[in-house]
Order: sequence, then structure tokens, then C-alpha cells
Amino acid sequence: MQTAAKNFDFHEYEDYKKERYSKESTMKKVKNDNSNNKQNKKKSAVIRGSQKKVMFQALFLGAFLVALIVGFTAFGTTTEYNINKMEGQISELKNDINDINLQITAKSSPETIESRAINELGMVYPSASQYVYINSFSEGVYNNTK
Amino acid sequence: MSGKVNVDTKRRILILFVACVAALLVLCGRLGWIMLVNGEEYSTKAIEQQTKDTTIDASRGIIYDTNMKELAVNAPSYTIWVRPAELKDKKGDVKSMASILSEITGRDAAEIQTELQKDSALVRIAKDLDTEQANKIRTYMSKGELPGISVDESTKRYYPYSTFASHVIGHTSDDNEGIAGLELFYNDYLSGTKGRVIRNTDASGRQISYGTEKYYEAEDGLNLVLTIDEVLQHYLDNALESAYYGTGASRTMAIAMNPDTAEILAMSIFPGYDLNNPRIPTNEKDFEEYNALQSNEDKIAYWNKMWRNSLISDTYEPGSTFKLITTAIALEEGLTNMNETFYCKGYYQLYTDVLKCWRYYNPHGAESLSVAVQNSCNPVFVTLGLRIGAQKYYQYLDNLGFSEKTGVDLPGETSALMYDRNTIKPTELATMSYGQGVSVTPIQLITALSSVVNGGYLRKPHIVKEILDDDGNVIYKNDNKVIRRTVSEQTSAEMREIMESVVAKGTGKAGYIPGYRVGGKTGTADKVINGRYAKGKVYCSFLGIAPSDDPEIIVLFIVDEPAGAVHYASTMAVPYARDFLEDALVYMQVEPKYTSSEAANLSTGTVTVPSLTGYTVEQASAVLSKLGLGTIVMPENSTAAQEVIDQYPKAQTKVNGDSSVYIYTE
Repeated sequence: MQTAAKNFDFHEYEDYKKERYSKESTMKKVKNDNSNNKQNKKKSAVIRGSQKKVMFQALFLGAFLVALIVGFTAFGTTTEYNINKMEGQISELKNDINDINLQITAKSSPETIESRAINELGMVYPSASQYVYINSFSEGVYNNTK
Repeated sequence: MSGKVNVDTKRRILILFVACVAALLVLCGRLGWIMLVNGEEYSTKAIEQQTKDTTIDASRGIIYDTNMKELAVNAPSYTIWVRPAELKDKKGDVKSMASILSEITGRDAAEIQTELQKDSALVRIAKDLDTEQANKIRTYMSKGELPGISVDESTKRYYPYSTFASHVIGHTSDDNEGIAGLELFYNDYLSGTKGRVIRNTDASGRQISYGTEKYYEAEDGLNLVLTIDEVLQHYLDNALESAYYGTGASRTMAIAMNPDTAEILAMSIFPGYDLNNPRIPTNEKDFEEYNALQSNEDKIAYWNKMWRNSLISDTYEPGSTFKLITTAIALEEGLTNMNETFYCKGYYQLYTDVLKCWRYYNPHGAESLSVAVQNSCNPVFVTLGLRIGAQKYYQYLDNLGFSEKTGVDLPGETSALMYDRNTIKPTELATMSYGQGVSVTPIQLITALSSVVNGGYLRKPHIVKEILDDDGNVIYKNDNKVIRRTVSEQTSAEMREIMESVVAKGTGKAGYIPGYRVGGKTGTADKVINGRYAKGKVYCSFLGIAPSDDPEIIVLFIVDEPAGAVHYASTMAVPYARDFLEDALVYMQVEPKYTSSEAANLSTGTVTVPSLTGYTVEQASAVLSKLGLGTIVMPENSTAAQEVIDQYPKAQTKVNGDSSVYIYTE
């Protein structure tokens, strides 16, 4: 009867202990949770703070890089545009130069030169007696006769 | 309670998640479909849209004369286009635009206005504008006064000297392809190879900076350096123009060559045509004729006739100039010699045919071979021709290049027309021996006779001396190779002596140039039109060499259909050929060697009056004119064909250079 009573007491004690243990555990858990939560909250707060910082930094960097890329592309496109424009101007100038050279060539034709020389400058072709032949093999001038 | 999620919320989240995943899967599937199944097609379309493939025109080669003067170059050319739809969208003032464009282009404003309002995507308003005109249009465009207008730039062929050597240089089409002359013959060399630029462009056609570019360089055309000398060509043009107006001819033409190298120094036909405007005749008379043409076929035929180089594309009966060939053959074969005497009784009886001498009314009588050539006496050449015989004659004609084309580097060359050597009759051989019944091209005749006077070396006539690239490297050089021997040195020397005597004493007297030994032969032949001799229409020609002891130049001068009733090459062709030779010899720095009397005339400024008895009035006037002396004909109503029987001052009298001489016909 004592044994049974002990058993009955033991089991009750065991149950009590279990219950107490589980309560203690729960309380500990709660305590831990609470303390973890507090820690976690602290931690989260810290993490959230640093994350925000990183995020802003990343955003800033990303924006900067995007701005850089856009800027370079715009610069490249503008430069290309200017180059094209200048190439067009160079081509026009080359054509102008070409035109002038063609006019010079056209005005250098033997017919034009002869006409202007005779009509405007009074050129007269020399007569046969006015030709003087210079012998390349001797000095002075000579007139060949048979 | 914290940590406890509502089941409904969980379910909603799950549904949303599934939906997102499903949508994403659909998108991925679609993307995969586009990339894997249709990827190639879209990629191709994107490339086509973003890629601009531009042709780079190759620059056409330049044509230079022998002294590197530019005869054919490239010039910028502008074409004006309008997009009527764009013009309508931008509400352009059509009348105002037409007025502006008319003022700049020179076109009729009403016509332009009609074109601006055409129901068409793209309309050409004007082409071949120069830089100045294009810049004016661009100025108006920048002010917004010409909406829908665009200016396209290209290059066109430009000939700075206009009509200069037109039948030699030729011209190109609007696409810069050769149509005639050297432009056609050497088109493959001159054209070059087009290039390409493949770029990524934006919607406006501007190149994207990060895009790709592939560049295939154009190969510019090669440049031609001709044997033509600009100055000699000009002198020849002057002489031809003088002959054209002086004789009233339908046209005049000539070739001048270096007999030793067969380089063509000058080649011209008058009237020529403007290479920058090849479809419009330059001559007033021809322009009226052209303007009267109605159909396109007639105009095309007219253009082909205008552009035709008859010096290589047409044959003609050479007449007495061909007697030089007969003489050379007979001398080479030993069938005659310089001392042989012939007798002209005014005709030659050949079986039943009577072949008259041109001076049948006053036969030449006894004459040596040289004198026979001076007199151009037909019976003597009939004699020589028959002695040579048909087979031998044709053998020499083959040797001299008459049975084939010369191979000159111009398009459209034709070859001679002769009797069939196997069936030729004696009379036909006889007439051929004095230059009738045989048709040769001028280039064949001058090439053959060049070989006769240069010691007997036949060479291929050519106009292009060298072909260069843009850096001046010689890609091709003509080596003036000898094709074959035609006659011996002795025959050549004898022929030169005979030709000199023709100018000194014969029908070529008007070719005399003080201080120079000039040789030659005149020729007057009936013209064949549609297979028949045309009455009153002749070719008068002169083949001249100078200096005759060592010729540096040979010229064949032809006057086609001189006007008037009396036609003699001695007055129609010789004086003008002489003018050319005199200018050419001075330019070529061939020193004159004056006889003492010539030198005396030069130093005192006096002229010795030559003997004019026996000349016709026309011939006498020509001789006096060349000496700077005037002519007074007595009686005044004497005709040009009447013979001079007396003169004053008498022959050998020294007169001042500006004196006149009286000539009497009765």
C-alpha cells in the first residue's frame, strides 16, 4: 500500500515534475523567446538599419552606373552625330574644291587660252623669221642654212 | 495571436503564387517560342531594319593627254527629288516652290509645279545640277521653304575641254558607263569596282555609335594616259575648222601619227560634239536638222551618226593617195625603178576598156616614175598594177594590213572592202592601182603608209600610251612592237624622195613650208553612196610627211564633199594640212633648215614671187596666200578653174611681204 501509495505519489510527483518541467520549459522558452525576441528585435533593428544603408548604397551605385552608361551612350551618339555632320561638311568642301579645280581646267583649254591671248592680250603668232633656235649642243644661237 | 496565419490567407497566397508562376511559365514559354521557333526570322528582320547597306561608288578613272592634262574627269552631280505626299502633309506652297526651283534649275516653273503635285511617291525634279545650284537649294531647304525636297549627290563624268577630241574620248551614260570612244573601249579599266558599307543605323539613318560597321573599300578605276598631244590636237582642230568653212565641206577629218611608233598624236573630225551634252549638235546647221526630227528612232540614228568615228568605222575610196601603195609594191618587187621613163598619152587601153588619165585633154607625155607620182598620172599606175599582178598585189595588201583591222584601241573599227582576189578582173586591178574600186579606212591607209616611210616597219596604231593607278604605278605600257616588215629600207627611202618631189614640184606644191622638207600625195576620189558613185561628191585628201628625210609626223587630211564645181585636193586639202604641219613642226621643235634664198627672204622680210603659170586661179591664190601675198585676178570675172597664163610681178621677183600679185587668165 505504501508502494502503491508511493507509486501513486511517484507518478503524481513525476507528473508534477513533468508539468512543472514543461511549465518551466515553457516559461524558459517564453523567457528565451522573449529574450530572443528582444535580441532578435534588437538584431532586426540593427539588421534593418544596416540593410537599409546597403540598399541605399546599392541603389545609389546602380543609379550612378545607369547614369554613367546613359551619359556615355548619349555622348557617343552626340559625337557620332557631330562626326557625321562634319563628314558631310568635309564632303561638301571637297566638292567645292573639286568644282573650282574643274573650272580652272576648263579655262586652261588651248582654245580658251589662244582666244583670250589673241583677243584680249593682243598676242600675235611669231613669223618664221622671228623664231630663234637654240642648239642644245653648243652655246649661242644659230640659224641653220643649207 | 502572433505566428498564427489564417488558413484562408495561406490559401490566397498559395493561389496567387501559383497564378504568378503560371503567368511566368506562359511568358517563358512564349519567349522560348519566339526565340527558338521564330528566332531566326525576327533576327533577320531586325538586322534588315537596323542595317543600312550603302554602295560606295568607285571613282571612274581619269583620261589624260600625253602631257598629263586632264581630258575626262569626275565632277559632283546633284539630283533633286520631291516626295509629293510629304509636301502635302507639310502644306508646302507649291507655286512658290516651283518658282524657286525654276530659278535655280532653269526649268519651266509650270512643269515643275505639275511634278510637285503628281500622285507619285517620288518624283525627280532635276538632275546633273552643279554644286552651286545644290547649295542654293539646300539654303532654301534649311529655311523650310522647300518641304519634301531632297538633294542626292552622285558623280558624273565631266569633260573640261568640251568638244576637244570628242570622237576619240567618247562619252558616258548617266550611269557612268562608256557609250563611245575610249570611254567605251576601256570601260572595264575605267569603271573600277564598287564598294559597300554595312552599318547599324537608327530610324533616321544615322549610324549608332555602338553598332557594327563593315566596310568593303571601293576600287577606283584606272587612269589612261593617251598618246594624243593637247597642243597638236588643237592645231589639227584649227586646220579642220578652217578647211570646213573654207571649202564648204560637209565635214573634215584628219589623223596625225608618229610614223616610227604608230602613236596617234591627234585625231579629229569637224564638226565634233560637246561631250558634256552629247545629244545636242554644236553646229547651228546641224542643230536645225536635229530639231526637225520627230521620232525617237530618227533621233537615235542621228546621235549614232554624230558620235561615229568615220576615221576608223567607215571606209572610203582613197583615190590617188593609194598610188603610193602601188609605187611601193612595184619598187619593192623590182618591177620599176627611179630611172624608168613612162609615157602618158592621156589614157590606157585595157582590152575593151579605156582608162583615162585625169589630164586626158593634155596628156603628160614622157615622165619618170617620180614625175608620174607628182603628176598623179593614172596610166602609169595601171601599168605598174598590171606588172605586179593580182596575186602579188593582194599579198602586199595583206602585208600592209589592208585585209584585216589595224587593232587600234577604239570601238567600232571596220575593215577594207576590196575585190575578191580570186575573181578580180584586169580592169578592176587596174583601177585599184590608182585608188578606185577599193575602200579602206583612213586609219588603215595612214598605218600602211607609216610603215612605207619609216623604213618598212608595220606597227599597231594606238591611242593609249599607259594605264596608271591612282598612285601613278604603271599597270600597262604600250611597247610599240613591230608587227612585221613591209618594205625594205631602200624602197622606203625612195618613197620618201618621191613624196618630197610631189610637194616640191607636183600637185602638193601648196604644202611647201620654208625650211622644211615636206613630202606627200594628194588624192581626189568620187564618193560612193549606196553602192554608186555620187555625182559631184568627192573626198579630197592629202597624206603628208615631215621632215621627209626622217619623218617625225605623218598626217592624213580629208575633206568630205567640198562645195563648188571644181574639186582638187591641191586646193581643198593641201593648204590646210600644210598649216597644221607648220604649227606642228614648230611645236615639236623640229628645226628648219633654210636654203640660202629662204634665209634671205626671212632676213629681209621680202618674199620671192613663185611661178604661177599653169596653176588654176584657185591654186595660184592659195600659193600666194601662204606666202602672205595678195592676189588680183585679171579679168575680174575669171573663174576659179581657169588657168593662169601670166603674172605680174614675174616669177623670182622679190617683193615686200604684204604685196599683191596680178594673175592673168587671158
